[in-house]
Amino acid sequence: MKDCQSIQALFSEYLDQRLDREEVSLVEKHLSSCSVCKAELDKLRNLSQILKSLDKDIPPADFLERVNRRIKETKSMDSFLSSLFKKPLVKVALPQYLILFIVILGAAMGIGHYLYRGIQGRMQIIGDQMGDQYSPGLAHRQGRKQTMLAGFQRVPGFSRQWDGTSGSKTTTNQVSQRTFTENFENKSTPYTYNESMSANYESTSGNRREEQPTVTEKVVTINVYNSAEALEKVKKILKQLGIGNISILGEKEGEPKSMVLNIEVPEEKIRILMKELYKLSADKTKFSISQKPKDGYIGLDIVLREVETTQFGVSATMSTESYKSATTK
Amino acid sequence: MSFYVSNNMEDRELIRKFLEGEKGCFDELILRYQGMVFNLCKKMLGNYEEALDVSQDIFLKLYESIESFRHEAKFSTYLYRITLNFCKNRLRSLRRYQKSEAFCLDDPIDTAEGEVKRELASKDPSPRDNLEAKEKQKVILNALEALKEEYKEIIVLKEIEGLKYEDIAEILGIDLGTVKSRLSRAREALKQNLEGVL
Repeated sequence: MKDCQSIQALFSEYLDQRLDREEVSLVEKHLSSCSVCKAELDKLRNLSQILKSLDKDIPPADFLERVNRRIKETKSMDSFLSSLFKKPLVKVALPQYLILFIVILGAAMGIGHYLYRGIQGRMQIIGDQMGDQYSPGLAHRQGRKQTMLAGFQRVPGFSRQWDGTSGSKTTTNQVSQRTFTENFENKSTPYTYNESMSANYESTSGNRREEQPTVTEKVVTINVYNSAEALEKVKKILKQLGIGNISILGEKEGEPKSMVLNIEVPEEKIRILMKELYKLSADKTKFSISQKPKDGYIGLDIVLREVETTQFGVSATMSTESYKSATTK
Repeated sequence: MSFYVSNNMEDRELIRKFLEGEKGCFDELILRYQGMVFNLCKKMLGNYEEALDVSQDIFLKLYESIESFRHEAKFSTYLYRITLNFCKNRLRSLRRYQKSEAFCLDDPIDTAEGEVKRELASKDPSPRDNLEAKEKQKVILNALEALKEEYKEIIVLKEIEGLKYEDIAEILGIDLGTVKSRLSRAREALKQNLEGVL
């Protein structure tokens, strides 16, 4: 049996005629006396013959065309990719590349800073033209809109303070300071038009200047004989001028026969509105807004103050109230 | 060497002319070796479409890298080596994606009713393969396909391509003694897989 194993190990080379004469004679001598090994060799020989007789697999007739098509596709893809990553026409050393990159980066940053400052400066000019400061941007307008849409409910965290003396009867324009700020109180109380509120906003940060949202508000006080009737007329005027977003705030505190409206007037309509409102005033005192914005809107409170028909010497009062941000200097 | 390989000097001349810009010389190389490459791919992969795809990949690779051929070996040897490498890579990726596993034909399958002899199903039901008339050849090919990769390649090179031991050693990068022992084990494994058929 051991002989059979060692002889069968030589069968592969025996079939391929790779054995020397001695090995061949050894194998053939064993085969002459061992039918088992002879049968195994026959199997291997048969297997070899079958394998050699296997049909050759032939490629399709258009194989060459297929390969050439693939080559062409690859070439076009390669040229596309190489065009994407084309080498620069001018060879520049790495340090020069870096310097160029830094210069471009610096220029981009400078331009960005310039534009940012330009926008800020522009907003500052607008604020100045309106007699107040805009900062930081037009966010206050959004808050103001929200206030009006909420039916003049105070938006949570939104307080409005006004200090002025325009409630007193006077024949001259008065300018009072309003402080319009967000102090993030979690209160939601109905708005009341209160003149006796604190005038100055004190920053909690001492003398350090803090940016707070500010807005210029104008107040026009018109003496009328009948506030309800005047209100209807004002509504009509506003409708004719196409001014929406009217908020009727109710009576002014301390003046039961008054009516306060809050509107946003586009700058181009402020002059004609003033002209129309002048017609409503009982005493026909002319008024105007001395500072007008170049663009945007003016927030305007119209106070229709009812006066007795026999009351003489009372004139309409237009006062410009400025809601200023709290700034401590 | 097999009948596909013609005069070695002619191959060298064709390559030189191709590198000098005569694109038609590469076509001549394709026509000369397409049969050998495709047949080897088909025997190694056992699938017509895969063999066709890999054969084209091989000539594409050859087109791109023929500059690097230094004529240290015969061009046919170089091409056999590339072909086998491509086939082995494709087999690995096919195994990875199809999760096919190699098994011995004689391994019985455990079932509830006891062990059942495994029957080989053709893995390639393509119409082209169905045209193969000889049932015995089918069984042989299936048995060949079920062999270990290193046994399969050496059987194909020796029995089907008819290469000498020395050429096989050069193509596979192994010594002559390894060729002899591996070929012997491969034949024995195939013979056992085809027990009852031979």
